[in-house]
Amino acid sequence: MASTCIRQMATLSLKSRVVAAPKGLKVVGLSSPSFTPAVTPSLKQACEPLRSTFQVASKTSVNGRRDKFTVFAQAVTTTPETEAEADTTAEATVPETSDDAPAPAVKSKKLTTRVKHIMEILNKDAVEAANAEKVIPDIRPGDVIQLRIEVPENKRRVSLLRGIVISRRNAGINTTFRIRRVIAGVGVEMVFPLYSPNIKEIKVVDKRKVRRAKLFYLRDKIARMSSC
Amino acid sequence: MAMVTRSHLPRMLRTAAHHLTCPCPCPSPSPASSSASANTLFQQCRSFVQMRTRLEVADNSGAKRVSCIKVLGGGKHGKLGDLIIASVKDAVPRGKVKKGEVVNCVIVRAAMHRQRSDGSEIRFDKNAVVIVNKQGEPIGTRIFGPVPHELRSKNFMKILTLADHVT
Repeated sequence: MASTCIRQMATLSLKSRVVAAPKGLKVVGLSSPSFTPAVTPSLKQACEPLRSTFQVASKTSVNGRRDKFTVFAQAVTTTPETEAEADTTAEATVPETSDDAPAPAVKSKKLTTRVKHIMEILNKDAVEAANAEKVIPDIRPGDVIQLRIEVPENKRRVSLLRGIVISRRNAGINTTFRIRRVIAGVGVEMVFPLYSPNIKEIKVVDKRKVRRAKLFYLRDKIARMSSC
Repeated sequence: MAMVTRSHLPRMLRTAAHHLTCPCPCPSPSPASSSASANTLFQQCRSFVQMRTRLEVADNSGAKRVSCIKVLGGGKHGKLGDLIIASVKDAVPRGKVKKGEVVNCVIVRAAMHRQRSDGSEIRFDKNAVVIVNKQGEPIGTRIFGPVPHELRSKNFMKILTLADHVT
């Protein structure tokens, strides 16, 4: 136990010099806060007799190089193996000390810094960037909404569209919603990406009580149910 | 499980016929057709306009229903905004076109979704056409129902001005 612990600590301190990015590198993306406080107590608890020697090392390795656990979406200077190794050591010790760690009381889906999670992290960033640009209200099936939209086929004139949301498909930045409306006796359905820059404004006009996530049954119902 | 699928097939056929006016009610649509093909038995089978597709007429030219006999432009499948050649199946007594006539039409409403360049989609509940002449001008004087913006890029400006609603 102690020998493996020593080896782990050695690799951790060695790899931390390799893994950590130079200060000049731009940090994009999330830093998982659950890691940083958890590492120090894990080092303390995992190797008791070596605590004195490794406390100093751990402090410099964590505080001085906090970047170790942030995600670099642009320049991946680390190889996947070193990241994986650093992750496995951190992950292996995190569950033991989850009750000890003071800050992360909330169980959340931790996006590790593995390369395979790059798309998830990029997706999240894109969603955050889109949300920062304009306010997108929470749209749920059953809402009657009004859209101000620039249709590209319409020579960029802003048109007003109205309808009941009959479905919402969550896929990060590709989240889409479907609107249904009966116009002049004909039912029309339109699908829009929620974060589309062509949508200038979304306004929730009304909310209907529905007991489904997808209201495709409205297609079979009379026109009055879909008119708004 | 086989019994369940057999007993639902007539219902599927009825709903497909009611919704689509399309002659292919079978749950295995053409490979390029809509995304509903995954759960086809319990969902609508929306497909392209092709030969023998019955379409409504959205203008006052006199015809009520036409049957597609050819999709122009070299493809087998007609989408929103395409030109087709159709035969008039049903007409009012004193109209500009008579039953049995072969006419050119443009598809103004399609049950099959049509994607737009910004990632949005549009689709209608029924297939409908507007009868046009060889130059692309509508024969009728009024157009009923909504009409999509796709006609603008196909240069059917007269249809867009006559329509009461452009979506």
